Amino acid sequence: MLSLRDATLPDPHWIDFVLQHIDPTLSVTRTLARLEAIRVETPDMKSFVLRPAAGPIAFAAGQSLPVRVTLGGVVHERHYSPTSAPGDPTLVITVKRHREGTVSRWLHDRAAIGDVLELGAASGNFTLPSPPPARLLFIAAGSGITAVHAVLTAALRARHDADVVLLYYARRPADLAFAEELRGLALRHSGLRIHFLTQRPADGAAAAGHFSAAHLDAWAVDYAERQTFVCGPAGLMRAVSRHWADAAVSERLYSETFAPPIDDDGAAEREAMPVHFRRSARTVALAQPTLLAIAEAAGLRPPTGCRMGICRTCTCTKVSGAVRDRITGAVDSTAGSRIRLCVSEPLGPVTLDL
Amino acid sequence: MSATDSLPQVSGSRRSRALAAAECEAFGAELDALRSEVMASLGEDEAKYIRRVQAIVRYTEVGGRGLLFAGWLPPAWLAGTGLLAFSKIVDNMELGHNVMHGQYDWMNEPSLRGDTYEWDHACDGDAWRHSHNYMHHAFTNVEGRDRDIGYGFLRLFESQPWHPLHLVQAGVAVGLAALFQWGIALHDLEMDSVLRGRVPLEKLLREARPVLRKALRQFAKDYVVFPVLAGPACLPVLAGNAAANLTRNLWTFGIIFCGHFTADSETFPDSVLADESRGAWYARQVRGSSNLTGGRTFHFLTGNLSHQIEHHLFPDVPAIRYADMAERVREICARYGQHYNTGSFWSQFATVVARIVRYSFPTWSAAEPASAR
Repeated sequence: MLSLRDATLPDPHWIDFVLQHIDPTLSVTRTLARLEAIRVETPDMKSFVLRPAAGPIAFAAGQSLPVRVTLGGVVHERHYSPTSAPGDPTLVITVKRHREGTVSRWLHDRAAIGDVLELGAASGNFTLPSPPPARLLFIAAGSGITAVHAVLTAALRARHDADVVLLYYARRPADLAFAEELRGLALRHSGLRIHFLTQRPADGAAAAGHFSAAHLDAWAVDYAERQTFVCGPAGLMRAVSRHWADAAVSERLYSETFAPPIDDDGAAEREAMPVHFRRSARTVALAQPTLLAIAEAAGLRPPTGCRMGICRTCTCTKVSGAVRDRITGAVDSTAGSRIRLCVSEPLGPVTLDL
Repeated sequence: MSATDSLPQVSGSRRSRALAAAECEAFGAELDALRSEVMASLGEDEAKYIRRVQAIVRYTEVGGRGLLFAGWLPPAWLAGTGLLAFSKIVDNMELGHNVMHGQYDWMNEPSLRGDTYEWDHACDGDAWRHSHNYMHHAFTNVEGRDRDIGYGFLRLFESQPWHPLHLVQAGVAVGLAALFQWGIALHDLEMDSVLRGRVPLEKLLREARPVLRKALRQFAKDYVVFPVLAGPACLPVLAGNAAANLTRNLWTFGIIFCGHFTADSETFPDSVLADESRGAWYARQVRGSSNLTGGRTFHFLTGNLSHQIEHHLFPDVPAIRYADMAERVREICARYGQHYNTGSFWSQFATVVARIVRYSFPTWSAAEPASAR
C-alpha cells in the first residue's frame, strides 16, 4: 500500500485549480456544464440547455441527476430529470418555478447564458424496462411531466408502433409543457393518444377535475394490462397508487416523486428523542421529523443533497439506536449501520457519528 | 474554592469564580445564542473569504517553489523559502485546521468539507480529526483524556506525576518544536500508551498504515519530488523546503502551546465529564484556553487560533468571525466572573516556557497553588 506512485500523485483539487484558470468548465473532479440557452415552456416552467464540457452525460430516460449551483456561498443541489434524449450533446432540464424554491427561483430569475453549473451522476429506476413494453400508460401533473416526457419519448423511439396513452393534468391550458411537441408526436405515432386534462379549460368546456377512476374508464379502461408510469404531486401519486393497489396490479406501476418525505404527520404528537452527536460531543432532544432536521436545528451542518432520500449525500454512520426510514417504513436498529439522515426518524435514543 | 463549584479543577490558576447550576445554564444559553446568531449570518462573505485563502495558499506555493528553482541566487532562495513557509503556515492554520473543524461545512462544497479535507502536513487528516477534533476539543484540558496536555511526554501541570526524564524536557520541547509536524503525525498513534502497555501493539500497527502513507507522501513531496524536478537546483530546493518546514513547525508550536499551557490555564479531573452541562462545558473551554493579542496580520498567520477561547467555544464557526465574537465573549465572561485569559504572544509564551522549566522538576509543596505568576 505504501507506494511511491501513491506518494507523488498530484492532488486532483490542485489540477482543477490550474484548469480553472484556463476555462471555468474544465475539471478533473466534477462535471461542469455551460448554460447555452433558456426556453420558456409555460408561465412557470423553463427549459435550460446545458453543454457538459466533457461530452454527453450517461443517463437513461426517466432518471434524474443532481444539478448544483452556488448561491450566497452555499452549494445547493436539486434533482431534475433531463428532458433531452440520452446521448445528445446538450442536456436539457425543465424546471418549474416554486415560489419558495431557492434553486428554481435562481434558475428562472437570475441564471444567464454562459453560467457554469455542476452536474452529478444520474440515478433512479423510473425507466423503461427491457424489452420495451408494447402498451403503456403515462399519468403526469405539474413538473412530473419532465420525467414522463422523457420515458414516453424513449418508449416511442424504442418501439415506433407502441400503444401509448398519456393523461396529463394541469391547471390551465397555458400550464401544459411540451404541448406542441406532444401533439406533433401523436401525428407521427398513430399509437399515441394524448389527453390534456385541465381544471380551467380555455374554451369553456367542463373542468376535467383531478385523477379519478372515471378518467381510466374513459381513456384507459385496460390500464391493468399497461405498464404505467406516474409522476406528479403527492396527491396524484397517492390516488393512483391506491387505485392500482385496489386492482392488485401495483407491480405494473412505476412512480417517481419529487417531494420531500415530510408532509403528513404533524409535529404535535411527535416525541422528542434524545440524539447524541458523538464527534460534536452534544446531545439534543428536539421534536423534528428527521435526523437531518434535528442535526440542523442543533446547529450542525452535515453534507446534504436532495433532502429526499435519493442522493445519499447525507449518509452517516449510526453508532447506536433505532430509526425508521420515512419512505420505506423499515426500522433499522443495527449498530454501526449507514443511514440517510434526511429520511430517517429516531424511534428512541440515537447516537450518530457526527 | 466553594463547595458548590460545578467545575472542580486539578491544577492551574483560580481566577474564575464558581458558577451555581442555574448561573451555569444561563452562561451556556448566552453563548449558544451568540453562536446561533453568527451561524445564521454566514454567507457570501465567508465563502468568498475561504476561497481567497485557498487561492493565496496555492499562488504562494507556486511562487515559493518556483523561486526556489532559482535557489542558487541567495535573494531567490530567501524569497522562495519565505513564500513557501508562508504558504504552509496559512495552509495548515487558517485553511486546513479550520476547514477540518467543519467551519465551512455549511457551504456544502465537497472540496471544503471538514471530514474529507487533506492538508500540506505530515499528519493524516483522519488521525488529526480523531486526536484533535475529538479527543482534544471534546475533552479539553481533562487530565487522562486530552492527550494534548504535554503530548504524552511533557509535564506541564503539577498534577501530572513527575519522572526523572522530565528533567530534560526543555530540550525535548525544543526538539518537538523543530519537528512539530512529525510529532503531530505520530501523536494519534499514542505510542507512549503502547510503551506503557496500556494500548495493544496490534492497534498501533493497524493505525500506523494511513499515518505512514501520509507521512511518506509529505516526505517524498518536499525531499524527493521537488528536489529531483529542480535538477541542478536540487540542493537549494532541498534546503529551502527543509527551512520552510522548520519555520512552519516553530511557528505552529509557539501558537499552539500558547493556547492551553499559559500560566492561567486550568486542567480538570475526569469526573467533570459525568453529566457535564452545556454551560459547564463552555466554562471548561474558557478556563482551559488562552488568547493572544495582536493585529490583523498576526491573527491571520495564527489561523485565528490567537482567539483560542472563541475557537474552543465555537470550533465549527468560521474563524474569521472570532475577532468580532471575542468582544461579546469577553463581556459575557466578565459578567459571569470567568477569567478571560489573554496577552501578547511574548508575555504568554514566556509563561509557557516557565511552565516547561518549572515542571521539569518535582513539585515539592502540594499546598502551593501551581502558577508561574
